[in-house]
Amino acid sequence: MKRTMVSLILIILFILAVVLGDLWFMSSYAEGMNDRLDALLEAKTLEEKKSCALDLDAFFEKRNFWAHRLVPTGRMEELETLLHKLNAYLKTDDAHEVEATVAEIRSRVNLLYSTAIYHWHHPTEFCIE
Amino acid sequence: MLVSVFRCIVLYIAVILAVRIMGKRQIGELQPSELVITIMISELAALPMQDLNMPLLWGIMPMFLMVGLELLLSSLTLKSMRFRALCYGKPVLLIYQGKINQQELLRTRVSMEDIMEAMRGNGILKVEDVWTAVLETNGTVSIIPKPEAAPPTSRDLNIQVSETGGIPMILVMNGFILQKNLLERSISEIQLNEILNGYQIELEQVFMLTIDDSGKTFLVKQEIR
Repeated sequence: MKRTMVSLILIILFILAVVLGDLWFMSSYAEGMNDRLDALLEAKTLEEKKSCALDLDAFFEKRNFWAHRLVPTGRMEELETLLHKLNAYLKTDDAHEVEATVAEIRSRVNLLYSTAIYHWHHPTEFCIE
Repeated sequence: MLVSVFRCIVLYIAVILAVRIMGKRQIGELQPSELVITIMISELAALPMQDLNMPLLWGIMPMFLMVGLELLLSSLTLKSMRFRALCYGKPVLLIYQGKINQQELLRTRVSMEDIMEAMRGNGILKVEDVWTAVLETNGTVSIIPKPEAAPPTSRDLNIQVSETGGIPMILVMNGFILQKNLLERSISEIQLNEILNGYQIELEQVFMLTIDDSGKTFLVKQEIR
């Protein structure tokens, strides 16, 4: 019985660690990406935009290992492709494409969240002005 | 490809660990919920093995969650008979005092062929020799023969039998001394050497050496080197 209880407690701790870790990581990941995307959109000059894009890439690379442990590889690869695309549009200084790509990255980042909890906490709004 | 190899190894270890935590049971003795969990664990392990897109944790976490739920369920069934009956059901008497309970046979969808199969497994050929047949909660049928059809025991024959030597313990296996077992039987290495000298054999030549409670040893020599 003692062995069973010890096994059960260890399993509960493992599951709690994974679930809470997933919630915390995805929340901070989405927040970090969204903050950097907002900073990129608010940047006035091209140099500022490029600097924000570098910051975004650095953040993405830094969190890449743990993101791959929690998110399907396909979705991360799509995100990486979009970041490359964003950098390409920044090089050509295409403001409209940059804005559209930022919006696409933002929606994919928010959809990365594995449960619907993030959507409830940060509801996305569709908006055409 | 290397990722696939790594995942297979990790998932293999995880499945072994999960099955070890669940405890020792033979497939034929598993309760229905245990059988379901065993099948689900193998399915959950196969998913991230085949689909490299899926994170490894998505397979490992549900696997251990299933094991945890099974441990919880089995612990609760130990505490409460009512809960145990709810989860595992109750044994059913199919034959009692030599009389076949046809109503229960119909209700449990067990045929006489199933009962006769169980009878043959117990060395009984005639239905009239069966005293009780019980459908257990794990789906097996237990057969208890009538006293006149059961093999006699030494007590029935009033025969005095010598005591068994108890469970033999392995002291040497494949030329290696099992120190834990030596300690268990309070045998020193010097005493072990004396035993081997008695057999006129070296340690490396021993395939298996056992000793029982009465001190009787049994030795098998190595044939393949």
